[in-house]
Amino acid sequence: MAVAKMKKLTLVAHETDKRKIMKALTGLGTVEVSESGDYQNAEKKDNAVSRAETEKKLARLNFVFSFLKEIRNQVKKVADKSNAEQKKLAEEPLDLKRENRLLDYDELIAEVTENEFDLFEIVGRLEEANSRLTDIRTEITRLNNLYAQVSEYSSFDIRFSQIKDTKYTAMFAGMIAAQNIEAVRKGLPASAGYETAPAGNGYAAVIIVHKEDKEAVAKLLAANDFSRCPFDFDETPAETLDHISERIGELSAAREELIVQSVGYFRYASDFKSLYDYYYLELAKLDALAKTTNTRHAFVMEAWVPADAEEVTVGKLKETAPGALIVTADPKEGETVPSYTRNSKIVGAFGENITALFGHPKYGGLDPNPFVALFYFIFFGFMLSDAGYGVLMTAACFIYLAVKKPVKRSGSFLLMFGLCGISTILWGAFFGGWFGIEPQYLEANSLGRFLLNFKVLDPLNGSQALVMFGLALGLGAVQIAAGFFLNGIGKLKTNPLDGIFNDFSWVILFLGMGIYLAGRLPAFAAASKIGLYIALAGVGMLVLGGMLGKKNPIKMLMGSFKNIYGIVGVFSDILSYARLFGLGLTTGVIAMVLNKIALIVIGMLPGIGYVFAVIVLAVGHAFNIFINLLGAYVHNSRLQYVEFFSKFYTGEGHAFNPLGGRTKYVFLSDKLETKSASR
Amino acid sequence: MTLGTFLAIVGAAIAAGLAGIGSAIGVGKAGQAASGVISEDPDKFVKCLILELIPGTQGIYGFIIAFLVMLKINVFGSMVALSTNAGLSLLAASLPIAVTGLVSAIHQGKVAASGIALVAKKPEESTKAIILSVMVETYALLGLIVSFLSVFLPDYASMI
Repeated sequence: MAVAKMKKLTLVAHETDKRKIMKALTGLGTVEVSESGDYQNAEKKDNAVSRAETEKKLARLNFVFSFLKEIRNQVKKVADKSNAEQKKLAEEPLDLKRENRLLDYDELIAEVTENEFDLFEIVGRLEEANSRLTDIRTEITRLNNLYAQVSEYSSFDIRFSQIKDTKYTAMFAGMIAAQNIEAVRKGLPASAGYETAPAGNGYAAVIIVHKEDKEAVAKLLAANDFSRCPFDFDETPAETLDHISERIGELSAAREELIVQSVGYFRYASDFKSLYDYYYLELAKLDALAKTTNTRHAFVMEAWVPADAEEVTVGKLKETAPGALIVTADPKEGETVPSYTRNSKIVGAFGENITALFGHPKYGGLDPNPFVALFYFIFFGFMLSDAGYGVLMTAACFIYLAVKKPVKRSGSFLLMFGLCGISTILWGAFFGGWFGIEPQYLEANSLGRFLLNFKVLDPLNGSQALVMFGLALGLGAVQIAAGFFLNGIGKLKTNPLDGIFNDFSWVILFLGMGIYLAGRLPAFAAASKIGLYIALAGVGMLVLGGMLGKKNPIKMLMGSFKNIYGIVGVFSDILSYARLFGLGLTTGVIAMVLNKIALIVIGMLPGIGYVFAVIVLAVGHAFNIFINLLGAYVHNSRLQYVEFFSKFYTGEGHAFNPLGGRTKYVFLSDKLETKSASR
Repeated sequence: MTLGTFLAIVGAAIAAGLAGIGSAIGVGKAGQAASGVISEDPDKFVKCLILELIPGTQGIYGFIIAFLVMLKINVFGSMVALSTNAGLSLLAASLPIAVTGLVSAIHQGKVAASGIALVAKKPEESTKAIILSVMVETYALLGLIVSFLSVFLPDYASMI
């Protein structure tokens, strides 16, 4: 439950053991290779070439994934749904999502080496199919354009090759724009014969003139933007069009054939995914190797390993390379040590999905995750505040987790929401929110009466809304006080006075305020004054805290003033927790409004109204859950990041990123967790 | 119907109307950006949709206040005859969410639109884009709370 202690592992081994060692380390998944220091007669090796090769393989595999996805879309369009065989093709499954599969690195290698050669041959075939498909597409586009152009002459029953001059005549064929056709007609010599047919925005024209008029007519046509027919096929326009359609038909058939063939490769998707991850890890290994220092026959590698995993790591390395020299040591002052937070599954779920987005704790610093988990859990239910929704959420998340059994930590997001669902049930029952059903309806049956037993506060009952408002701010004060407290604890070792006067003073101030407010209740009336004194003591400590470490009296005064002024900031932070109240209310009110609308619908349309009411309720509540779930998720995160973390947590640490820890399509087992699980 | 009741309905109309306009503009802006991104990569639809929806909540807040005002004057049954003062007070109570909703939804829409641009480049960082745009919502929430408390707590029916 903390940021794990790390050890620096230095390994000196013979060049020939390098591959074995890298393989072992990837399989262990326990070390992050760091930049090794400089040694005499040794240098960093440039592996840009092998890196580029691996990247090229990854790029080819990425092409396969996007190509297969494209085929998936295409085959749905071309398949004839009435034909059983084609229908089956169109429904051929293609799964390109991450697989819920936990593998050993050795298993992955075995899986890949078995058929790597065949797979890359398939990649080649798919690349070929892709370029064929591209060619076909360009050709079809070209033919379609040609078809459009030729069809402009379709009304002429003359072969294109016949459009040429004879001994005594000259012949023109081409397009004339509509606004120019009159000018051309008028300008032609009387002896000219011509025929026009409307085509597109203008006219297709064939004109025959005496040879002696040829020049004059050519000038006339040029002046009127005549565009000469570019074709010289030895067939009539109609015949050409037939041939073009035929060719397009052939090409389309070839295209469909290619698509159908490619569908046959869908079943290799899983193999491609393993292959991708294999090379993805190869790339990680190359990057790790680039950080090592090499002589001609040996290399030095420095790496970070969690202290808990030291034994298993060193053991495995000794077994892999008996000749290697392995030294482990505690981190030295000034070294950037990666931080690895080790938490229970539950706390980890919040840490991975909330804290990690903000930043990782510094090595040796405080792990905020247990506190984040606690407050996030409490606030979530307050914001969603409907026990009915909570039940749905919890059930959905835990059923999914139980059925799918996500490996490694891939289920942590759902686990977090499942837990938040429990919080929602608790708060929902506290506020009496059950799908927004109003109390008078709940009281009508025994289940409703039972559920109402848990109701402590009804936010929609007059001034009780204010109590809920106060409760929200109170929870905020608790979290902020916790933030100051944690910051003070962190300072105790280095600068205890600073911690006591600038951080614990806030806790005392909040405590005093809390007691003072409790004193407003008749039962604790005596406490009121005590609370006030405690709060004043806190303020006094803040005044002193501002003076700490300063010699100039004016600076001391300013420091005190700054601290006192800080009270304004802190109280505005507390007011920010009003969002707990606001979001808590909206869920309940919208749910109630939906139920009212459903009732109105039933009242307006007797009988059939029930059908509409069910639709209103189903769609409405689904929307309400979605929008408020999203709201609770992000507003809750914000409270952690802005209001809570600003008091004590910077998240400037560098997350531990072990070799073999990152894969894209399968999950790789590691030896990080096994150790802690066995204890 | 008394003038007071009429004024209360005006308040409800302003709350739902202005906040709704704001959300419509905000969601519209984000939606335009989203279509651009989806045209490049249809797989980002869900991430874009979530960001597009964020400026939509202000409209809902306005609607909630409008609905509460309607409940206060019992629109669904025999309408309460409010005094002019009571009606004016309800109208005033509807204004915070109307104004904060209108303005914040527009600006949230802008942040959401740039968040969608962020998703286009780095889809794995979409949560950060969501959090950035939710920052703007704080002020609409504060408006909602002020409107809610001032619509909900006083007894307008017996106000003279």
